[in-house]
Order: sequence, then C-alpha cells, then structure tokens
Amino acid sequence: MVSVQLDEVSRLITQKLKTIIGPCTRMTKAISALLPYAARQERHVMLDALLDAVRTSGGSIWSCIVPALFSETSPLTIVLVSPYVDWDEPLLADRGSLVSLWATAASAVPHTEEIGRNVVDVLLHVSGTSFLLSRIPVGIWAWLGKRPSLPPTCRGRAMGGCESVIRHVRTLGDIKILKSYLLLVWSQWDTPWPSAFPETCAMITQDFGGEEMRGHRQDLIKHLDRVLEQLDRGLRYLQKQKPRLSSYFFQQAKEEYRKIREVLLEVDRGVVGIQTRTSPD
Amino acid sequence: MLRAALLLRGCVLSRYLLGTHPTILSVVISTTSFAAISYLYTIIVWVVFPIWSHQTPCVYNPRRLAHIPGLVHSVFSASVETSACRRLLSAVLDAWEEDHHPDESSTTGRPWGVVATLSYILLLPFSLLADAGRLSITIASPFIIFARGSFFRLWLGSEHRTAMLDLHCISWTLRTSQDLPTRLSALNYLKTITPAHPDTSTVVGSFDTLIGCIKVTDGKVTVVQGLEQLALVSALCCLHTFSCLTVMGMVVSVEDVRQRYTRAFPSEVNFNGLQFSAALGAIHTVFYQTNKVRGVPTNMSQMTLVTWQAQLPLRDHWWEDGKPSSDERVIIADALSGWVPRKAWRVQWGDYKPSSGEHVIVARALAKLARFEYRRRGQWKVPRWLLRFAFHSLSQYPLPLTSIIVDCLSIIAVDLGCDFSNIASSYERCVYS
Repeated sequence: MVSVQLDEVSRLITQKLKTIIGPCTRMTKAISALLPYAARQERHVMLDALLDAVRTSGGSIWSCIVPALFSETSPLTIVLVSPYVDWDEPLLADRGSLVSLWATAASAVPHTEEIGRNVVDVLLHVSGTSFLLSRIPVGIWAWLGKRPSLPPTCRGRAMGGCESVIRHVRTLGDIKILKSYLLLVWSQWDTPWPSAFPETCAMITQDFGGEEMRGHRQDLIKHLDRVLEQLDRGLRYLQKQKPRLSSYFFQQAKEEYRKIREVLLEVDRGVVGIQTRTSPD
Repeated sequence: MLRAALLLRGCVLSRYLLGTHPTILSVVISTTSFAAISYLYTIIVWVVFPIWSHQTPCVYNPRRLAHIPGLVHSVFSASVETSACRRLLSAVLDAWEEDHHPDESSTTGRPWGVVATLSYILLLPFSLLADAGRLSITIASPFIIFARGSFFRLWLGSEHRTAMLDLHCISWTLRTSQDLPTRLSALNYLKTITPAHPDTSTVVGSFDTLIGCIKVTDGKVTVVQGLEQLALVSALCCLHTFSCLTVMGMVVSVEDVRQRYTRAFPSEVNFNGLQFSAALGAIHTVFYQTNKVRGVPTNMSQMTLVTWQAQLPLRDHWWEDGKPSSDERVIIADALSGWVPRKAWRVQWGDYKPSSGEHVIVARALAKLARFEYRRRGQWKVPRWLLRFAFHSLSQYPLPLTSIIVDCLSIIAVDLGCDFSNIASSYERCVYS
C-alpha cells in the first residue's frame, strides 16, 4: 500500500515538474530536496523532468541548488548527485570550489561499481571544461584505473575526449591511467573529437610506441575492434539503447575509430619492422 | 436493523391494539414516536457535527450524499467543456464563417470550407459516441469511488469505533491520572493511533504532561531528572495530535493550543540538547513563525530605541527632538558594540538522527502541517524548515522507511503546488494505516 502511494506521489511530482515553464527559482529548495532522492533511487523519469525544469529556467538556478547541496549533504550523496550537475554551465558560480568539494567527497567514499561510474563520469565531464581542468586534484585521476562501465548516455565520456584532456592525462605520466582513459573514452556510444586526432596520433606514437608497449597497444587495438564491431551492427541497433544517436555522428565515429586503429596498427607494424631489421637473422 | 425492527414492532402492535385497548395503544404510539423522533434528532445532530462520537453509516453516508449535487454539477460542466461534439460544432461554425466571410489574408477558398464542413458532419456520429462513452465513465467513476469509500467505512467501522473509545480513554487517563507509568503507557499508545476526529483534550493532555516534565529558566529548557522518557513521548504526542487537529481544520482548537503554548514557552526559547528538540521545535516554529525575529534592528531608529530601552533608560530626552547629538551618537555606538541581537530558536535538522519510530511520527506530522496548516493560513509555499526536513531525510544513507519517504515527497509535492485532490482519500488511508 505504501509503495503504491510512493508511486502516486512520485507521479504527481513528475507531472508537475513537466508542466513547469520558465524560471522556477522559487522551487530551488524543493528541487534540492528532490534531486538526491531521484538520483539515488534512479527514478529516471522524475530525474529527467527535474533536470528539464532546471534547464528550462536557466543555468543560474544551479548556483542556488548545488552549493547548498554540497555543503549540507553527505559525501556519498554528493558523489551520486554530481553527474546530473551542469558543470559546463558558465552561470554556475564558484565552480572551482565545488570541484574541490566534489573531489573531497569522492576521496571519502568507498569504491563500488556505481560510485566508480559516477566519479569517472563527473571527472571526465569536469575535465572537459578547460577552466576546471587545473582544479582537479591529481589523485582523483586514479579512479580511471577502476574502469567502470559507463552508460550509453554519459556526458562525461562525450566531453572528456577533447584534446586538452588527452594532453592533461598524458602529462600525468602514468601509462596505466592513460590506457584506462582511452579504454573509457573510446566507445561506440560517442564520437572521438576530430580536433583531437593529431594529439591522439602523437600520443600513440610517443607514449605507446616501442616494444615494451606492445601489450598495451594490443589491448587498445582489441578494444577498438570491439567498438567497430558494435558500430558495424548498424545505427538502429545502437539507437535501441541510445535513441538520440544521429546518423551523422554514427558515420563520423566509424571513420574516426578506423583512423585511430590504423595509426595504432602502423605503430605496431613499425616496431615489428624495426625489430625485424635489427634482428641478427 | 434493530431500530427498524423496533419501529416495525411498534407499528404492528398499534395495528393489533387499534379499537380494542385505546389507552395501551396511545402509550405504544407515544413510545414508538418518541423513539423514532429521538433517533432522527440524533442523526441530524451527528450529521451537523461530524466530530460527535459514535458516527454510524446512517450518518456519514447521507453526509457523503450531500456532496453529490456539487459533484454532478462539476461532472457535467467538465463534460461540456471537453465535449467532442462541442468542439466539432465550433469547428463547423468557424469553417462556415470562414466560408462566408473569407479573410483577405486567408489562402483557403470556398471549396475547402465546404469540404471541411462535410467532413465535420461525417464525424458527428463518432463524436456523439465518444461523448457518450466519456460521460458514462465520468458519471460512473464518482459512484464507484463513493461505493468503495462506503465499503471501506463499513469495513473499518469497528476499528474506527474502537479508536474513538481508545481516544476517550487516553484523554480521560491524561486528565485524571497522576501515576507517571500510567501516563507513559497512555501516551505510548496515543502515538500509535491516528484519531480521525481528534479533540483538544488529547493535545492539551500531552502538552500538560510535557510541561510537568520540564523547566524553562531564562529561555533554556531542561528536563526534570528521571522524566526524560515521558518528556520525549509527550512531546511526540503533542506534535502528532496537533497535526491531526490541523487536518480537521479545527481552527478554534488550534488557536487554543497555540495560546497555551505561547504562555508556556517564550519566543526566544532554547531547546538545544534536548532529546525531543525536533518535535517541540516543529511546534514552536509553527506557532512563532509569523513573528519576526525580535530584537534585530533594521534601521537606525530601531537601533537607538533598543539602546535606549536596554542600556540607557534615563536619557529619554533624546527623543524630544528626535535626534541624538554627536556625543550621544558615540554613546549609542558604544552601547551597540556590546549588544548581541537575540534570535528566535529555529529547528535544525543537521544532527537529527531519530529512531525509526520517532522519525515516522515526525515525518507524518510535518507532512500534515505542510498540507493543511500552512494552506489554512493561505501560504501556498511550504516553509524552508519543512523542506529542509525533507531534504535531510531523503539524503540519509541508507534511505529511511518508505512511509517516511512518502511523507517527505508529499511535503515537496505541496511546495511544488501539486494537486492532491485525486489521491487524497487513498493518501489519508495510507497515512492513517
């Protein structure tokens, strides 16, 4: 009986949120109270309605919601709510401090698959905003090594593949983190940034060149094979899980991933060729 | 059934005695008539005063039937508003008007208007069918709801009567018993039941018990040693029964309780450190919410007034010309530098970690306050302290009980302006069960 009532009240709230048009600044407290619940219980319909209402009313409303939310809730709630925040919203005030708060919360929670997914999603999302990239503590990049499975629709993965992020991850100097980053970002659900292709080529030749990197290269090639295999199944197959996937980006993804794979194969062949030339036989 | 049988027996007996024993006949008729009139009078009183105890199906079913005219009116007006035939007719009229008075800017010519009109006429039978179906469903649904409500009433009738008797018993116990364990038992039972028709006596009984357990010294509330448990339970019962009063919209009773409360607790009271600070703080905030924070000056005039009242009572000549001199301003500034504004105590939820039983009671009571008490006052937005409670409860890990989540969501729903009328009855059942 109580669960029926829960569904009824949730439905009422969702319906109401869907009818909100224009600024909802007078509802910030209600939305702040609702967001952690909807995020934790994965009530997607309610969550979508909530985020639509927030976006409809303009990004400035995040400035009312997020600071209060981050200062008053537990680290776990912060981690679970963070993926839904528009980190790239310029009207979100004092984003640097919020990133610090988020990083502190992420370091305070124990690792689970769900938490790992949320942390990596936000990490990639935040890093996609160049202004915030420098605010991310170095230690938090180690979360990439957990390699959680990201959902088809993941804003972090879409934004975290840009040139500046690739460059930043390379500067960390940890090949395992770099490889994990690539394995997370290269996905059939998102298109690699065409502007990032030169940086990607440089990374492959400089960081993944050499015989000692053969294992890593093979892992990356196998991963790209799997991605391309998924892409070869067709757009409609992928749209079942990600309806917003467009045919243009689908074709672009295919081309970009093939180009990257070719570069990897060339580097691999080059190493083999050098080895063949230098061998005594 | 028994009353009908008695009436029937009176009629049969009168018929039998007719013409043979006039004296006995008159006695039988008088007795039967008196019983029938008394019963009718009682029913009328019960109908007029819903809070009267021992409500029966004969009473609340007519009361429910009284809503039918309004219901029928709303059903028909809504049906007319949404009628497919009506929309079709207006579309036909528009097409006809356009056909005969074509707008200059319009590109549609006469033939299209005629075709449209003919199409509309062909659609008329379908519209009629759609309207008939919709009207049938609209008419049938209130009666189904009514029948279902009556069924639940009959089904829960004995439970309801038992609850009423329990309430009377608890109220009597709280009024008369001085034995603390007995009072504690009565209050422990009171917090587990939800009176459908509460009265002030239970709230007052709980409140008097609470007052007997605490001391208020300079705004600081302390609990008498050994009475901590009784104080906690009585505070919870206060909140619980008070929220039930607000559900019934018993303004006079609520005002009575408010006066008692404000006599006992000043605005600047401090509940910090008390086990029941949340329950009592909620009541405190409800009663003192309309009062602004006292002692906080908003402009220079108020500031000087405060100084004059608090620090320098003999310098009343300052106010003769309305302006203090420059020297006096320095004195005022010095006086104000050591002055700390007092703030009314506000309930905080940051460190609120109640037991699940207490959490259920507080959440339920606060949901009722959000839905009924603040609406009664004409406030359509829920106060922040209530939303903070919902926020605090929904942010807990692990999440609280489902009934608490429902209550918290209903607080949020009220703030968002959701319409509860469609689920009110079932929600109440859920809350009361």
